Amino acid sequence: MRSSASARPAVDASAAPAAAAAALPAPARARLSRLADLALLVAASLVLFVFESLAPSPLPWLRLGLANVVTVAVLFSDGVAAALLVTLARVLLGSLLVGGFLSPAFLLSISGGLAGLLAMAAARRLAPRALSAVGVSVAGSVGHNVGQLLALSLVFVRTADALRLLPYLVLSATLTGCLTGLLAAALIAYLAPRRRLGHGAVT
Amino acid sequence: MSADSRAPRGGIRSALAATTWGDRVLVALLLAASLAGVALAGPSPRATTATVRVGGREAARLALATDRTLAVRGPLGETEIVVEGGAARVVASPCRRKVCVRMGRAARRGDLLVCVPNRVVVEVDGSETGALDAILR
Repeated sequence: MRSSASARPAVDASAAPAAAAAALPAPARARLSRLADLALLVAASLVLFVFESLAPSPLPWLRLGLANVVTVAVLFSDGVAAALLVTLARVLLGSLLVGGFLSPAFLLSISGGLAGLLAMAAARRLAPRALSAVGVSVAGSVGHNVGQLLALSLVFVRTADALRLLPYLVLSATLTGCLTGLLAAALIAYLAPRRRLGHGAVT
Repeated sequence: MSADSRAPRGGIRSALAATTWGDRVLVALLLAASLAGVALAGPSPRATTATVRVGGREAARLALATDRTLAVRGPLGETEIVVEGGAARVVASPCRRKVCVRMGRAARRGDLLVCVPNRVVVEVDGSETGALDAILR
């Protein structure tokens, strides 16, 4: 952003934000639009995250991973770096909203988030044609659970017996990954034409 | 938003239609592997002792054959553990979400009751069995 400061024409600071954005050169406007989109998507994933943490669950360890819908969509539309940004922002802000910032549960949350993203980026890289958003989401969901279980067994439980849960977690992660993947595919299809038109996701 | 009416509608149905053979192979492989894992693991044998650890340090070792109640002190306060009918369970905990209480009974070898906030782990017949030594990464 800083590099474009010299190229930016003088904009009246008192002008309405929309008018100010329109006065910017096209590349700067595109960056601004992308930044606003990503901020909105972080907010959307936070809402899903908070909703899911408040909603009752039949099994304490079973989660849908709704926030991952947004991560998958960002991974497809903006790439790994943007998806990493959205994931980290969601984990940090989510822990501030729900509670537990820097607590043991936070460590599990961030290791799951990063492992899930790693698995999704790897799936995208290894099979860019073969996998749609559903396959990538399933990879991310399974990666999330495996990463969390590894962190749990390395840091807290100090026993390989936590890995006994692995088949059950992979089973549930595959099913929930399919569901969130379908939602992500719908979100990608919804966002793509709107963002190509050059305005923000909800403008 | 009205200007976007020409944008194609996404929806779950078209998302379902957009799935690839690769998606289906991946899902089928993962389902098969996890179901095989569940089947191979089978029901674990019944456990005989419960080891209670607080912050990784052993606090008590209980025989599951003898009914009793135990309270251990963690960073948040006292977690109450009951041994009854060959199973251990957490009946009271100072933590906020009570996940440990809702985990129910631990009776099978390798079962775990974990309260992460209060750093309490109850493991029945855990470390001495070495049942999962085959899983290495």
